[in-house]
Amino acid sequence: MEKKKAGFAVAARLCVFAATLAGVFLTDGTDRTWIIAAMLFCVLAAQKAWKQCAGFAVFYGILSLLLYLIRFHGLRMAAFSEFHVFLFWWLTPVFMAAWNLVSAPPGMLSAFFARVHAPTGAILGLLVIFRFFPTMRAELHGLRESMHNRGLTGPAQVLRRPGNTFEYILVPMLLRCLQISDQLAVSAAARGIDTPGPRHSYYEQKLRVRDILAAALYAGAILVFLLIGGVK
Amino acid sequence: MIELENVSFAYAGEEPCIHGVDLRVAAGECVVFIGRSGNGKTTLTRLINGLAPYYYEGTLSGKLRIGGTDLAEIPQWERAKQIGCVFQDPRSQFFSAELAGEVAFGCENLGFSVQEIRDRTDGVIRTMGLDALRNTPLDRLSSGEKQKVAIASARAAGPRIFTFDEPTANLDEESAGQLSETLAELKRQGHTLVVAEHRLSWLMELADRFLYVDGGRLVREFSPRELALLSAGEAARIGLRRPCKTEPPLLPAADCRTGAAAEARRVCCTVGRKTIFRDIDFSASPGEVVAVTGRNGTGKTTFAKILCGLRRESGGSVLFSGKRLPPGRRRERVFYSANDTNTQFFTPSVEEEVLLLLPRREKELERARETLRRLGLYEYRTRHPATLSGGQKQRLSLACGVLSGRELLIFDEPTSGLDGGNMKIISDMLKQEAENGKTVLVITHDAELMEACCTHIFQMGGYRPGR
Amino acid sequence: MNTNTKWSAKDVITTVLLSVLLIVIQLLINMVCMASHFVSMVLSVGITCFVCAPVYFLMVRRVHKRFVSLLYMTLLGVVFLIMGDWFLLPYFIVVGLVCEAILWRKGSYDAPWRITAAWTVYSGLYQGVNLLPILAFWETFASNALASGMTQEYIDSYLSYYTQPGWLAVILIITVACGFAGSLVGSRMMAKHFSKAGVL
Repeated sequence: MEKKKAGFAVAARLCVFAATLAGVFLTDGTDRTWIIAAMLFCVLAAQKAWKQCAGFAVFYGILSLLLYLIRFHGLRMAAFSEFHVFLFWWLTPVFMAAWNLVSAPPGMLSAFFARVHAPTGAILGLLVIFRFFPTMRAELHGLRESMHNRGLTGPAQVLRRPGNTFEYILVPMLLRCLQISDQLAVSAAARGIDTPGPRHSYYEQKLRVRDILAAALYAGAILVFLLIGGVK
Repeated sequence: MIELENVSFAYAGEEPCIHGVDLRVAAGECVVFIGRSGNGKTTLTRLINGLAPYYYEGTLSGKLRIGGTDLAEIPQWERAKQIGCVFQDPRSQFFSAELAGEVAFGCENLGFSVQEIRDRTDGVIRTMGLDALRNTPLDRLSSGEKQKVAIASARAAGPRIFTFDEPTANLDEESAGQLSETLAELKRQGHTLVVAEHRLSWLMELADRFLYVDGGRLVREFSPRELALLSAGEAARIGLRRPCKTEPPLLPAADCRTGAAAEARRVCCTVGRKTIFRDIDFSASPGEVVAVTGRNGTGKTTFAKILCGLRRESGGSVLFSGKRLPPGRRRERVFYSANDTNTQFFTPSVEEEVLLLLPRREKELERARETLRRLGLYEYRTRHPATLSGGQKQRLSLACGVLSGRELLIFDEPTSGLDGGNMKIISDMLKQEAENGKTVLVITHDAELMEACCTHIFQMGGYRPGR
Repeated sequence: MNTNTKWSAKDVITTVLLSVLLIVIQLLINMVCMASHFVSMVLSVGITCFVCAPVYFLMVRRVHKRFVSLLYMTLLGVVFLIMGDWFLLPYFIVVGLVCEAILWRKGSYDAPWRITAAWTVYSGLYQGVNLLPILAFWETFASNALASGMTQEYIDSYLSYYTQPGWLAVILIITVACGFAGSLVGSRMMAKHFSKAGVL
């Protein structure tokens, strides 16, 4: 519960994301985007999201190292071109802000949607997106096992009939997708999804001072960054 | 509380499937629809909770009243406040990854205020004793717990009536028992319960009436007493599972005997740091039908997957005819039919499915025809497997196993959620395959199935009643 | 089939579920292909469009309502926005509108050729995923690359596939052909499996 409280409100995270986009794409000096990345590490740390912090630190560290080698030691990439290294390094702040946004608990996101009076369909869609990954993981696992079991994964079978293999993977998965969407739809209908009128959420919360403060500080810092560093 | 007056129903584009049903259910009563698959039990629950014709389109005639109000006059969402629905497979009805969000979903839809949503959600979670699960992702719960969460989320909107459509189809005996307690609690608080179900024993103490549905009509009414007194032969004749709890039969244990066709010696399985089981000794020979049984979470399915080579053992060895085989080679000799048939079929018709990767000589074709006939699938041979019912899919999976020509056949809970007729077909088939020289393993809790066809028993975790 | 034009909860769920599936497949293929310069620039879009065609067919035919393509492509655009390619969001909304226009006529959702046309056009335009970021970020990259001592030639050779009209034509032809072939497979799969399974 401690961690949940530390997380910023969705509105604040959205503000951080928008400010990051502006900062990354408008700045005149792309080399200076590490300042934005550093600010985002602070934002993550303020939310006690240590795992995310560590993950991005490793990611950003490796890219920075590669970029350094490319620039000062003439490293040339055999695979995964220099362009990609630079692109990913440059866009890391955007990834960080985006991840911070989408890793908000689905309940909080849908509460935010409800608060801004998004249509029920949008909220439903949002919840379904988050259900997709755990559900599909389980289904794919089951599918792989049944393919093993029926002898459909042997190299001879796969190489001789790649078209069939494509069909054997895709068809059961799609059929299952449709089945799941039907069951979800029945479940939604039975629980009154078509009720007209306003909608509230269990996770609805008022903006706290720290949310407003964080968003304002971050946006202000980006503004200063752009003013001092110059705009394209 | 619930009144049906001369109700008939036909799904859009299909023949009528419910004919002139009259029914009155008093407040606080528990009524169970029983009977063979495909005779309209599920449709009756859908009519009561309004999903037919609201979601499942069709034509309805006659009068349906809930608490005196004609259902045709109120919109579906009003009905959702009065009737809670619980379905077969809780897994695929969740909209949230965690408990509170899931339980609150219905209340959020129905437009309650924030305070009311929170009060109701927290209240239901507390009353149902689910507080401990608040921080567990729903996907990690056992199927029994998932079903309980599904009930909690139906309950939060505060309905007076609950409909259950085969709620134990995916549950083992133990979870069914727990479900029975949950329902008893609902009933004590004066809720009206309507259940469509094959498995009867868990309902015997709970239900006030059993209504036998045949051909879309209510043809017979049993009190629990009358149902309990029904002879085994009579129950089988009308396609029912045995109503009373059946004790597993006393069978010889399938421990390690050297020289058997399939052997497991001191097999262990650990996932991460957790030990699922250790030092399992097991053997089975041609002609035997071994029932693998044991409580939930003792690793029955994991053990089966190790035997058939879908998983690697963490220790010990698996031997076939005395020779140790690696997992990849085991797959050529063992057929594994999972309990979940949803992702098991790959081709566009039943006949192609059973012949998948098999040579199509006259001999094989004849055998396939014969097998399909015996399993009652021959008339469906051109149908797409996705259009089959649950029982038919189980039978098709069985047919694929039988025709695969592999020596060891493993079936994981092949009779869960099936009616008496389907159970009989499956047990006969298993018995016959064993007589034809196959080794058969069934993971099951179904004492009726064990009694009908098993020759040995293998108990996982805990005591062994077979000795 | 349902002739109602109002979107129900079921339509939303089906469209979103299949759209997410499409997007995940696309991103995965894109990611794997990045390892090789040639595959990434010349083939990846073609492979993607071939593999995804049956899913798109199923989605359009199953939901059977207007704006399915637009919703899918908007979602795709939002995903790209989140990954930093913000200009792809308006781009894909426009592509979505083009596909909607192709499918606008009544009964298009039952006409495999119309869906094939929509997907083939989409395949051609999906090349934008590769081209637009390079165009948009090129200046930034080029200055960065020059600063790190790469020669102009080296930088130009990187872009060679997209600057020579011959290669550009080959890439477009491959992509469109793959999209078209995928549509044929998709349309066959619909007849063989999905209409038989009664889910269309």
